[in-house]
Amino acid sequence: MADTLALESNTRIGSRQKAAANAAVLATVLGGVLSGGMIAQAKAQALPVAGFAPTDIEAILGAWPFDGPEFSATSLGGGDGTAEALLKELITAIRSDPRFVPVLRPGDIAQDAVLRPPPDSILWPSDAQADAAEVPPPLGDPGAWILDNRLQAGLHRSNALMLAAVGPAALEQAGVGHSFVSPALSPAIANDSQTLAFSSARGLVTAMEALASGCVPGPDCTAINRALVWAGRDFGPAETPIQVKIGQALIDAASVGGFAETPAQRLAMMTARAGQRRQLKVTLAAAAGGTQTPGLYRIEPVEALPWEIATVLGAAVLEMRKLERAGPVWPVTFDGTAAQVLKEADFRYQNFDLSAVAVTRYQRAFSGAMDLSAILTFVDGGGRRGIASAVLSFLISGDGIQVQSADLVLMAAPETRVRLVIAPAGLSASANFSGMLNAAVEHEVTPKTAGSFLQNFEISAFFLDRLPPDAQVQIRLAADQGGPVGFGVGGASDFDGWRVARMDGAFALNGPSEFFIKAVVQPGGPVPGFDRGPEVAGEVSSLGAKREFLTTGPTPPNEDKTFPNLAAGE
Amino acid sequence: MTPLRPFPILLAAIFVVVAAGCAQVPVAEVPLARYDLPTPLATTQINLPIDAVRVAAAIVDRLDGGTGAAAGVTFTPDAGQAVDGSNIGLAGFDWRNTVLHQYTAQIDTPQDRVAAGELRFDDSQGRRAAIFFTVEYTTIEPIEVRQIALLPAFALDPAPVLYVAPAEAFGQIDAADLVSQGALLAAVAKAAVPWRTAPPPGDRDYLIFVFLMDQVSDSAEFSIGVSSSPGGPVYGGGVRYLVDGGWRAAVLPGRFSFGEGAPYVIAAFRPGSEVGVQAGRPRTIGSFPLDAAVALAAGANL
Repeated sequence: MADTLALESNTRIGSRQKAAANAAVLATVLGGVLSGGMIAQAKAQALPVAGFAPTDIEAILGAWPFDGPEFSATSLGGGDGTAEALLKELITAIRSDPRFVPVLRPGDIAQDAVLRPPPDSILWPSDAQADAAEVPPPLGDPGAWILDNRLQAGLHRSNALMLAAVGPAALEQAGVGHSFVSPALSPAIANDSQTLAFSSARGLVTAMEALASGCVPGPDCTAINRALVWAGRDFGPAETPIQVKIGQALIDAASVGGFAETPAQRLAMMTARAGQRRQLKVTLAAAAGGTQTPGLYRIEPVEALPWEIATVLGAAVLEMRKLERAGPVWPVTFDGTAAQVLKEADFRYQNFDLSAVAVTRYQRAFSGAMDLSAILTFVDGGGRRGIASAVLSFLISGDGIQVQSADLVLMAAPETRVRLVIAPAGLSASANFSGMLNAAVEHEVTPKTAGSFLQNFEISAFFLDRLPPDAQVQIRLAADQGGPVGFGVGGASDFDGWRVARMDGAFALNGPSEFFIKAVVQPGGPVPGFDRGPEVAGEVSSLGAKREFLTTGPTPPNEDKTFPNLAAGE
Repeated sequence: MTPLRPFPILLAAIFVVVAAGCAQVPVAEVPLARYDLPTPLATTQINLPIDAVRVAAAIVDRLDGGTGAAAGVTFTPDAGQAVDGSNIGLAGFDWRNTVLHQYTAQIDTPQDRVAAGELRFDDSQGRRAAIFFTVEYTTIEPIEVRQIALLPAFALDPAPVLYVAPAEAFGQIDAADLVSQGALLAAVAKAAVPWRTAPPPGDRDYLIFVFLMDQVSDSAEFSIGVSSSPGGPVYGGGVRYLVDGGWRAAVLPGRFSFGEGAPYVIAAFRPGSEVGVQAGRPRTIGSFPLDAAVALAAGANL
């Protein structure tokens, strides 16, 4: 009967009209019975299906294209079964191979799990690295990151893990003027003031101690040189060693993007930006997040950083800020492309403060070079936050500190903060993030202050954390609270990684039916092995209940947690 | 002669009884076939040991024409030949995940590992494929793969996708679009009508396309047809099937409207001999109402 069916089904469509209706019915029934429900190959006339008439497609098309040799009337694929037989053998072998006994329990295998970007943390290359031909597969390439087994790649992944493990709150606590070091991963930091680097740094310290006032001898007698010398002579208590003063001057300059004459001036610049954040209401506390692991790290004032770390990181951040016009950051020099790698093509952290320095690894390599890995966090007056993972290798000699290699990738925060602003429609368009944020906040309407009648509004979601190029943001409207489900509307703009999603609409805040405005973010593209989906970064109700930041712990209201060390002075 | 007369009646009666009995057992309840594999130890790559991930990455790299060195893994000549000669490269597909079913060290050589699992891939059209592997390697750097077996992991419950296109849309179709499922899928997706949200009015001639989005074995059986109801008898005459390796498509011409009373398109699938002797009935893997209102109401279930 199967042969009969095959024969029947192999007849050309045009000739099927001539077959006997009763035979088709029989074939249909028997086909259904004997093949266990297989779809029957028969005539429509014989087995009427309401609302459907088989067409003689040849009459319509002249020659229909799906009758060639590639297309068959049978639903079997054919083949000789070799592949299937081998597959069966393989599966049997997996089940019964004595080498697989004893098997691990499912829980055991995670003990040896790999260090890699966790699902909620993303690394991506800066523009500078993307352009460099010699750079191996970028960490940001979801299809290739696992193939990158360079030491630097592993350290970047460790930084991503650290960021996810301790959460952004710990970094924010580190703040300006605080460092965050992990003793477990930084054996070179013996204690607050003694480092392994000292033993090889004696010549340099001697050279620095011999500095005369004015410039370092040489052709470049620049503002930075003068500031360094000046800072070394006059900063801090007289008993502070010169190398510590220079390190402090560099990290101070790196913090605000320029050499301040006194620590008070540096603090005043940062205080001004903290004030801007308060005005824009983007200073809400960061989520606690992460898993706090006692003993994994310690938080200390930045003054406690070993001087060579402060010096090198300070110089590196000044390179990131493209302050090369001010001259070389003596005593640090950068080899070859190391300085270039630290610079992004179209971005230089202008008006950003270096708000946190987290040293995650500091170790002497066999070559004698010092390997340094750090997470650098920047915040601006608009509340924007950018995080970078830096891996540096440097040598200390009598002539100075020579940075031999540098590697920089950008990191997404585990949680994306957002500022949702509702304002009347028709605001003047601005060309940058800060301009848009300032204009929107200036005209902000809240559900509490708005009338409950239909008005034209413009809703903007300012995503305050830097996101990778393949991230997606959107404003969604939904009748239900929570979850990313909603009707997506409007568009989005990308300002160097900081996104703004906007939508226009006519609706009534405080109206009879409540709805929710959600700022939704998908932090990055697909990563092998991870199920990454859209998340709600912020949500506001049309009736006024507001939840602008995802929080997982209690947060004190109206307190700028971004700079906890400055709170008392503000 | 007369004693023989009741026989055809009896035969017809048996057919009716059997057919009626059969109809009471919906094909959708045919149990899903499964591979007889141990419970996975890890279903996402984050839970895999680093050596297993590197070996998986090296296999993918090698299948893609590389050497595996990018993952710091080498292959013995025999193992390399086993990968190169496996002929199961998936051009255009991206590695998405690795599932590990077994991972063990031998007692007398604890630095060696034997691992078995599944590499999962997809492509830009959303088609999915997987490869089973067993591999024996040493963890002493550089990791060296000594033995390896790779085979396509055919889907046992493939996902069907349905498109409806006007019959005349394919009068001038490029012959190159007819030889591969991927090309046909792209052409059909372009020509298809958005019938659920904007159904064209009245009876028209259409081509119904159903694509399997997962790779299935050659010996698997895939069939489609139309029916008046989800569980009713199915008409499958006139269907033409494209078999492109493990990638399948079916096309069925017909005249109908997307209004009330429109038929259902039924897709059925029976795995091939990879899960035992070909036996049992096909399982319904898709039931698509062509009544636009019904389809829209069914929403995500389609």
